[in-house]
Amino acid sequence: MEQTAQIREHASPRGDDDEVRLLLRVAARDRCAFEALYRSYFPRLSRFLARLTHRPLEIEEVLNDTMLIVWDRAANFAGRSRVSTWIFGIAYRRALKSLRVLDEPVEGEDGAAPEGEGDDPEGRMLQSQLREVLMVALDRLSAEQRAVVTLTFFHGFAYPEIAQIVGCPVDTVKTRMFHARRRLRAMLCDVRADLP
Amino acid sequence: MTARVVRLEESPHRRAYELLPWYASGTLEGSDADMVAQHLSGCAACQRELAWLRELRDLEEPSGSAGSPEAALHRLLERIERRQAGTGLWTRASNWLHLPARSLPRWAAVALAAQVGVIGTLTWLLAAQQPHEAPFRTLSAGAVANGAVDRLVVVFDPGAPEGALRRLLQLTGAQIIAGPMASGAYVLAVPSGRRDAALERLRRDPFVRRVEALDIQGAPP
Repeated sequence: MEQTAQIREHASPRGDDDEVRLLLRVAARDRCAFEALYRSYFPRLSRFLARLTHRPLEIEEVLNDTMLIVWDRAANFAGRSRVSTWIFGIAYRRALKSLRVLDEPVEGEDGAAPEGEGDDPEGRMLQSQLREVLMVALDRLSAEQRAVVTLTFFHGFAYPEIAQIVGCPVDTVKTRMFHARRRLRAMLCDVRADLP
Repeated sequence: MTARVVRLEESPHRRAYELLPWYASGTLEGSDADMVAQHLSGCAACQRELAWLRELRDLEEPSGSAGSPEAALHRLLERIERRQAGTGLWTRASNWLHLPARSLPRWAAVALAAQVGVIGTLTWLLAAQQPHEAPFRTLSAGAVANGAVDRLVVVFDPGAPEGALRRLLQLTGAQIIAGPMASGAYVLAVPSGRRDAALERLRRDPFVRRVEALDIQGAPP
């Protein structure tokens, strides 16, 4: 079966080689390089952090905390992973720390996804409704499960890279994804059954 | 008759099922991808699961942006500047003296400024009485102190002999001013006007893995 080619979002717009070059310059205190790296990562990190933190006001704070660490520790990057893996790993840990400071649950609570309103029978609204329900369903996962799903489907990371980002064994990544899929499928199926 | 126990976690179906999300996202490679593709050709359940995962993948991520990158970047750069400005003792004292009146009475600010002036004068007089000593200078101080340098960041081959690196530095007129970093990179200073020639020479060298020109503003390495 043909494996669908998908743009690996985290590897664009710059290739990893370009990012290594930028990071080397950042390590040598090249501020122009730092600004370029920041602009390159801003859209990706803000989408990722929006999914983890739930609070728009926290996104910039966590994002800037992340990039400040990149500025401070660029010289410590030894090239054992992709630059994107390293930066997303920093962002993930900062986001979890932010959640703990806010006393927000890192482990999600069980609960059913909200029912679809079903007030628009047009089939073309189905995708939009499903998207909305998916986002709510994602929010009901634990932060760890949500991170694995988001990094896989919306940021194009391979599972060994996700293991590096979240700091756990690859089997743990697979297990979190397994449980997340089961919960998402259950929540989405419930909603889909209610739609006309 | 003996029963054979098949542990589910080792079954080909379970192994393939677990990897389906990354097959759907296109990030599965090598033997993993081959194994999943082979399994899919004969497993209707996994085919259905793959179809659902592709639907999941195709649902767009919400915009969820923190706003303008430029505004956020500006705030971060200000934060970096404030932090760097705050590390100097004199700068910290100066900032304190300029606090609003409600924080420090005018007479106290004037008194403090006067104290700082007295201490500074005494220090200067003391230093003037010390016997002249030759200042300590690093090997790299000459070019850097003149300020007429360009900076490069270089990663050498870890197996490069010391003699080869020494000749390379002499040929390019470069001096090591920082490093090695965790990545093995060094920062070099080359006299202004020789940067392009140095870059070209370094890029051609078999013992140089990577070299980039720096556009340094502000903070030292």
